[in-house]
Amino acid sequence: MNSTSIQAATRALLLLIGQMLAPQSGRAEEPAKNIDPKALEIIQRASTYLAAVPQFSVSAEIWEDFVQEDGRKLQFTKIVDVKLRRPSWVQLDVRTSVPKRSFFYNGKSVTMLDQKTGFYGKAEAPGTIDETILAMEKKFGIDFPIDDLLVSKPFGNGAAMATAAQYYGVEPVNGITCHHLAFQNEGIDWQAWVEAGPVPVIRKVVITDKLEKSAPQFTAILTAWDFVTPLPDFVFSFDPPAGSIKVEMIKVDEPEEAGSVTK
Amino acid sequence: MKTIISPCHRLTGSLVIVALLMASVEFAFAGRHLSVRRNVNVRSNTHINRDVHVRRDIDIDIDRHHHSGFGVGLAAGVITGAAVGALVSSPPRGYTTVYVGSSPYAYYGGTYYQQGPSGYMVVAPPIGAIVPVLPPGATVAVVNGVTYYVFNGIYYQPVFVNGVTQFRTVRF
Repeated sequence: MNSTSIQAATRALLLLIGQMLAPQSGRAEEPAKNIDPKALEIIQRASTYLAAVPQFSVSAEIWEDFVQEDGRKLQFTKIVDVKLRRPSWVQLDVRTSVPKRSFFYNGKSVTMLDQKTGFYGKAEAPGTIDETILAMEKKFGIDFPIDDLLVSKPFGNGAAMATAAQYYGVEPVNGITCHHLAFQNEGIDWQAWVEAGPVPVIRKVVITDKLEKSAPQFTAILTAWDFVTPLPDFVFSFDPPAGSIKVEMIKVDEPEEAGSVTK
Repeated sequence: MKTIISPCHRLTGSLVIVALLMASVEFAFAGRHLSVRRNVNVRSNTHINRDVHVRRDIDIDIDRHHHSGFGVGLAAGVITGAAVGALVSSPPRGYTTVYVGSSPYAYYGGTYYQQGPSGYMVVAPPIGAIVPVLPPGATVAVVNGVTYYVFNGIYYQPVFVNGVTQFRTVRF
């Protein structure tokens, strides 16, 4: 990505923040010509359903494109195991073929553990998941993986901000019949596959980055949705394993040279 | 290169293992040098709800696989011998550019270089540099309950930079 597209990304970010902060009163005029109401209705049904459940666990297999400087597009895979209890408990384990990072949030503090080294950073946290996700990004530059799923309105804001939406009928995802929805937002296109039936869970999400010339994609396949297995408090509290070391967390504006231009 | 694994610090052990893992990944790609740079590894949008921001993926550390493991046992012995003031035409392949304030340094295996009119000169390690990997052979030192890694008399403190484990040179 050259500096021009970074500037473009920054502009788009500011634009979107502006949209998000704008008062909701603009809603009445929103059903623009290109929005298929069926797509919007299904994504909102999925969002409302997930927002209303008191707890869930799910496993997300994520396929991500990385475009190399010579133009080759490579895809890498990681898995995020999610455990969430509303309103203020989240536990995430990120792994490839080995454990990578874990997150623990219990309404009071938030911890990120680097599984490879045993280093962890811990900070006081706000009282809700949404606030904590934003605070971690703002203070420490740390993103919660697949945060779109963790927020109080999963995918809801994204759908509300879409400039166009289409419905493509039903298709199987891992053998499960799903509604195929497509949305176009500023900077990204995204698609969602929502299970057809009484439990409208999201089974697959694809995000295409329109700001990059090579349009890399992010695909998440969601399996093992579980709304019943108890998630007691201890699941969300971090007990430093023997030998683990607490480290400072700092934010450095990227892509400012924080340390890694390798040649 | 001498590595001292203190029995009371399993961490040092695991770092060594990590280095070996990275070296093996490097082999898997041998013959096909991946010039994976910061820019390449950046992707912008994985958020739908609050989208566009530019961030490296930090769980898939392809950038590290392809430079840090590289030379762990190979070039390090040569490089660490480089004396401050020595001139080279270019830093070893796989070096990382680190900035301290606005000054760029080339970092490789615990050695820092600054570019001059006639090449790169080995300079004293700057305090406040943040490097992605420890110099091979760094040893653990606990000072007042805080863990550091020491290499050539320079103390490196682990720190999460935007959620990525890196090491900062500190002065006491």
